[in-house]
Amino acid sequence: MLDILSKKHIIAKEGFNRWLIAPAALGIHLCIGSVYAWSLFNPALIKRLGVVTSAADDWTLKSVVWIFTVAIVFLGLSAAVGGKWLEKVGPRMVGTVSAICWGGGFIVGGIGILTGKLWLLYLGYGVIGGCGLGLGYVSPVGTLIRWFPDRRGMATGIAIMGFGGGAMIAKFMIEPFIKLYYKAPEYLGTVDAVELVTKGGRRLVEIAGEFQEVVVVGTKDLAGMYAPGPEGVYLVGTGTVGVAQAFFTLGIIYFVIMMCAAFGYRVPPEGWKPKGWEPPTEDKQKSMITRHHVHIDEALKTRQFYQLWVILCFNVTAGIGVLGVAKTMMSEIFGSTLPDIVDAAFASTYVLMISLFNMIGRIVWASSSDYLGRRNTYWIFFTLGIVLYCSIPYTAQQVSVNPSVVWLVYFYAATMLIFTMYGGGFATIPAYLADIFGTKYVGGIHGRLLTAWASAGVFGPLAITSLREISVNKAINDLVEKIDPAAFYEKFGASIDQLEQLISAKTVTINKLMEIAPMGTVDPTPGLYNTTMYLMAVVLFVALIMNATMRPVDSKHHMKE
Amino acid sequence: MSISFNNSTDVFIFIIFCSVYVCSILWIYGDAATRDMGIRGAILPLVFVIAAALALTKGLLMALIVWPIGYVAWFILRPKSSHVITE
Repeated sequence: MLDILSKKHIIAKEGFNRWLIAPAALGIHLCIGSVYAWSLFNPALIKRLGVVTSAADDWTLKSVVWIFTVAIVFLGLSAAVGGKWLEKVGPRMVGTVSAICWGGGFIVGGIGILTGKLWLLYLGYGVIGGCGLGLGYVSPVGTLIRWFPDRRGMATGIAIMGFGGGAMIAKFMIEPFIKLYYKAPEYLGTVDAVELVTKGGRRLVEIAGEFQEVVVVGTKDLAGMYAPGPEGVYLVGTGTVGVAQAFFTLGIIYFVIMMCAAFGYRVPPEGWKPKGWEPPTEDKQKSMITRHHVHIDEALKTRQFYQLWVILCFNVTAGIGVLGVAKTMMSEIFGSTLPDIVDAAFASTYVLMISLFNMIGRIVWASSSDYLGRRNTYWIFFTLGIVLYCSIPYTAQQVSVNPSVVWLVYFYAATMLIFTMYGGGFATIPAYLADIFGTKYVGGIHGRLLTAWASAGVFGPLAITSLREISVNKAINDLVEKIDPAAFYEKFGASIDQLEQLISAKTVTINKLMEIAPMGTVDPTPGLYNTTMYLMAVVLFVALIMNATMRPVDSKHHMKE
Repeated sequence: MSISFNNSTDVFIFIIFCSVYVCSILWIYGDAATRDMGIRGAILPLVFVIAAALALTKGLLMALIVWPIGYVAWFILRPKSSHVITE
């Protein structure tokens, strides 16, 4: 039965329309791309028991945010391991296993949510789902490049654009499903009308002689409720937040779509090429596009593989660097200097635009690379990127001195351009690999290269968090030096000697220090992101060197005919 | 995890170190494949990954020490002959 999934059964017949592969590839990538919408589950996951607000035994945000990172790590690992398997069994088999893992991961994760077992959620969505992500991501790449040897960039750009767009579509599915299955817990009345008891930090109410846990919803909690309800006391365990059921539904939907897409895959017959197209000659003009093939294992012994690894990894790291701070910069810096323009609605549109430009960049840059050349495309990414990254701190500084809309427009345009290049970097890399290593094992080699993404996904956020902490601590220490110790003691009830403890308890913050700082002290907030931006520019410079020194693979690595 | 950064240079070194480490493991993985090491070729890089993860929990310096030891160990343990895969 498994034979229908094998490579030999999906060889296209004469006259097959190669464009039919694109929707199949797009379908899989749109489904797995929903991983970027993981944060939409977080508010519901931390209210699994309390439903309207977090109960004592509910998971914390800190315990669930790492599920996304686990999924990305397993994406890289499974792509690296599954890449070679893909070359052996073909894209339909890999696409099918991907559908089972991704859909099944949601089901296992859903069971974890229902039973309150966090490890099961990690195993389901993070590990099993992560494997589905990796296998799904690489499944169409090699096939598309073989079908479109004349437009490699555009072909892979279409599929990988789907990964960028998956989160946007998921946004319109996740919240409605959660709301659909949401059931409000039993309302006991207002705080004044109910006799509350606190034991071991829990709020309890005596009902029929038994103490039962309750949650108290205040004014600030109302905005976070999935269905409008009154302020007051709700009985824990009597409602459902709907996230487990949403997981089950999404798992089934993704499984069905991905299976249909996997069965849409066809591979071209051996030696097939588009009508009227001839492989480029290896002259000096197009010396970066090889006619030879490098074996998947042999590729790991070439310096070009590691140059491309660094190119992808550092482009993603730099992208994560801006993704991690752009939204905060917009609200913290521009929100305070241009409050009439940058309000909550503006900030949420900005976040939507980030996804949109990330997606657009994938198809536009990848398609452009067919004409510009892959090395030139990355040359643009890195040179333009360095200029833009270095200019952002200047923009932030200028807007705090002179709150002009010009700086806002510049910041908006610069970050959007950076996001197109972030997406473009992902989408253009498979075509770059095909140019350097040939098309025979490109799917598998691409899988192994995705370890770069997994690495960037781990140390990128870690680096950004650390840089921010370093900058904040430095800014606080600088401010404290300017502040009168007596004023400090009066404000915080402790002396400057205890600054470290006061910072870790969040008692001392930049905003609070600015309240007692001498007149004329410059607010250091706009400069908090400078080191992140400059470091990302340095990281891009390393990638620039790797790209600039890219040369064709030595003939000793070529497969012998 | 006891990794802490004092400045952006530390962060940069960390990024470079992680990159070099992952690339080294990939290189060993490929090298093992061209030396017909079979399952041992897949397990050894995994051992290095685990060693690195454990070393990282003890701090970046420990990881910096473990990495060259593992890398040198590979050059001692690997079979001497290799070949270009022709398939």
